[in-house]
Amino acid sequence: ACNDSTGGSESGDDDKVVIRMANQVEESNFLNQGYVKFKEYIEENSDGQVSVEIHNGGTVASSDEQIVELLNNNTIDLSTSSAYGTASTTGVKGFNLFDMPFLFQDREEFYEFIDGPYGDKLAEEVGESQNVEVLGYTDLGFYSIMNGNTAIETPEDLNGLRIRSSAATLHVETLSKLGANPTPMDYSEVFTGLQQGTIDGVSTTTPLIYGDRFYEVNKNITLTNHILLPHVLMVNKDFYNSLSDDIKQVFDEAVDVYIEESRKLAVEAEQEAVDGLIEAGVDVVELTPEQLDLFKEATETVREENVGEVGEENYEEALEFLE
Amino acid sequence: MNKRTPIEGYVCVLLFAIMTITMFIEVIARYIFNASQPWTGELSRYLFVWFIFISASYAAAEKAHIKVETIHELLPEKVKGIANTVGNCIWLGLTILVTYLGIDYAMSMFGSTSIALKIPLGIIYFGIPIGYGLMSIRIIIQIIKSFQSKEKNAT
Amino acid sequence: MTGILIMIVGILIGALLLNIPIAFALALIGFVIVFIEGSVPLSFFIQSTFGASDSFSLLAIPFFILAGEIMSTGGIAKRLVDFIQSMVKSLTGGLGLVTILTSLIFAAISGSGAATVASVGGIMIPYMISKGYSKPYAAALAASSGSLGPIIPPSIIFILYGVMASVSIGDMFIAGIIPGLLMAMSLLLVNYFVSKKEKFEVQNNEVESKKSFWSALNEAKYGLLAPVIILGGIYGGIVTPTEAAVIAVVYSFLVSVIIYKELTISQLGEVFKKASLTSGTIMIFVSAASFFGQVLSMEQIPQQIATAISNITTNEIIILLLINVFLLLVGMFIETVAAVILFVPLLLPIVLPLGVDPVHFGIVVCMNLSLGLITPPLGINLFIASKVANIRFESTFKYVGIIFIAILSVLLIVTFVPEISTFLPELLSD
Ligand code: NA
Ligand code: NA
Repeated sequence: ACNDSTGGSESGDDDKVVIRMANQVEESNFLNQGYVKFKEYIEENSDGQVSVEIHNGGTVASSDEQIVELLNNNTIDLSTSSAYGTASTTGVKGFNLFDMPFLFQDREEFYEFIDGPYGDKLAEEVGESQNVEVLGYTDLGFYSIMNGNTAIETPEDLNGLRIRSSAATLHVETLSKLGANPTPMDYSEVFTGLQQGTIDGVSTTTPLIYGDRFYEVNKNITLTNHILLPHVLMVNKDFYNSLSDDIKQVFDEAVDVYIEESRKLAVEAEQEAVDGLIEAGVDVVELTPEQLDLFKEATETVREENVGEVGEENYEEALEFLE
Repeated sequence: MNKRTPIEGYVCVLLFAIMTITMFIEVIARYIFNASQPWTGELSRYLFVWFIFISASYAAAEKAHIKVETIHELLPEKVKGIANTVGNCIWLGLTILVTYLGIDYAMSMFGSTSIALKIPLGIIYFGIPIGYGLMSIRIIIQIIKSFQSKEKNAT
Repeated sequence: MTGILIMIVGILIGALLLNIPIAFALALIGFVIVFIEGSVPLSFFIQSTFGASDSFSLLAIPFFILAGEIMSTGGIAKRLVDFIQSMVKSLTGGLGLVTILTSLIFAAISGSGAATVASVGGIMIPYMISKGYSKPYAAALAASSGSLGPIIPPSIIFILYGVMASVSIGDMFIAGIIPGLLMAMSLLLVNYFVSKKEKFEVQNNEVESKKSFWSALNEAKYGLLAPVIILGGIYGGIVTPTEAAVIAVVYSFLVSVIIYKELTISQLGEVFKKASLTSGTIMIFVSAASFFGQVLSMEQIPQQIATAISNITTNEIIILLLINVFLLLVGMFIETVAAVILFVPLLLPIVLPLGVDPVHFGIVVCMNLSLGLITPPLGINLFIASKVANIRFESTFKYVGIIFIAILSVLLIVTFVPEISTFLPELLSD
């Protein structure tokens, strides 16, 4: 066998802890860059006792929904998954709350809420039914709406437009109430769909719209910011419990570093996306408070009508916090 | 030569037909009624999962799986039969292992639900052990047949 | 790394000696690696095989296979032949030309090489032979024309490549058009010179048509419309590639049952069964091999091979030439679907850092493998065609060799002039 002199993991070396992480994005994506921050911190501060393997690009986890499964049976040790993906695989409904449109004013309010008792409660619920432990929350940016026809400034402008959405009920309902025709097309078909006009537009996070180069084929984007996409950092319990106290301490530090850095990276990625879109000649519409109110009004009933998706108790808790 | 179609063949045809109709409904709904249906994509994907594993057993019954026979053909004529049977036994070991892993896994997935239809994912995952389980039966039949024909040749 | 590679090749050869289907041989290797390395649980197989199966894009594969089956059973292929023939009056190698052109049109309906040979060759080979063409040439020509099947869109291996390389299937489809046409032209040239030399000449009524141009056109118009509907549907912004495949099924069903009345209910059952069987063998392959691929990837094997190769040379031309040679060898022995699944994940990390366009690379890969359809020892098109012509497939080698060189020249041009592949997709995105 050939010797790997570059310092990769040697499975024969029992002393060394190898942490496997996985995501579906390419190396330069900010989500992956956050993982890299974790890797760098823990490798630098553990005297060479820990190494991190990041399997990006979907080579190990082919979809977001698979992350919890892969963590559960310890194919991977540590990774993040979207809130709605986590809801679907763990059955913890409380994660669906974040798909309710215009729930939080801004990021600060969102983090105040999720870093508080609500986030702890969700973590506890996940821990009860799964072999994973929730370590913290970060995000992948706000949702916006890109389309090919005209600038969208009011919900009327969306009338009858086919907007690609995920199949999640709250996503579909929100776009419906705005007057659009939500189209749950497979994500891999979106670029061609926009190009050929099979769909008129797409609603997803601003960094994703930029990263997947949808602006090459669609020239209008409205920063509706109607949903923030939270990502949940989770670790396999057995793996975590097997760590020695020294390493556990460095691990916990690295998690804190990751949470802080990844949140920063998301804000930067969003700004970078907006700048990049403008540079690419896209008409970027930032809604005035009055325009934004129209969108909020149009989707007001979505929340009350879909409390079942989220759980009564969870919804009440959110309203209480927001008052 | 009117060969009987194995039961998996009929199941596949049924699943295939439903997949076709579901997808066609989506196209009509989207382009004629401008009302895309969130459930169609998910349903056809999940039917497809079942279809894949059941059709794998169908293919086993019909001996249609892709093989690279050029290498096997290099063996002397006498050894081929034995090699084939040993190969079938190893293949059987694999399909039984996957059946076992699949049941175990599917059972653990009943707490998860699909995003649009809210179907327990365990049901979808069960397509894997069912397909591989049926395939195990098909391989066992082939192994038995190979022994029978050997006996016949001996007598 | 060498240790694992030797083990992989060892188990693979062993499994093939024992005649284990290759999909399960690969799963077996995956399990052995997982078992030895102990780094992931065995249940990773279930996640991996499910992840690969639960794919909307791959759903296009069974639908295109089904559409192709309906069209050849339901009389569409036959009418295409009549139509092309009605246009070709007296020409050197006229029936050869009919074979090539009909295959070209049928390729724009069917997704694979085998379907194209079976449909068009099934009609044209006996016909050519009855008109004085040598049996080996008739078989060789029909087999090679069938190689247009996977290059002219729609194409099953383009769909697979698109999914594996994360490139748009729509882009892959349209990128195949010009290379496919060039392949057809090279076949026409070969046909002209061979027919001239071997005197497969026009006896006045060699291609005397039973039908007038207009009546043949009238009969064939539904078949001719199929590619327009499939490709027009995709590029006219009406449907996604997967939906286009469904439309193709429904369309061919309506034409065969209602208009041509050549598809009975019992035939339809057979057609569905046959398509299930073909799709099943392809898809179980995809799902089992993806486990193998993911295990390799976790062990960093593709990356290490890529590094090893880029240590030898980083010259794009040399690497592409080496890959061509490698894939031609692969195509000799391994079935096309299997080859795409096995080798695309290994080759992409080598070429992408060199700045090779993934769509262009996909065309190169698929052209190589479609050449494999006519190369011994495993050349499925050649098998089918020889069976129809009722000859040993070795007897076709003389003509296959000439055709092989012609298509190979096209392949080299396509390899080193990326614009041939990327021109149409780029034109479309503006
Ligand atoms: Na084709
Ligand atoms: Na070959």
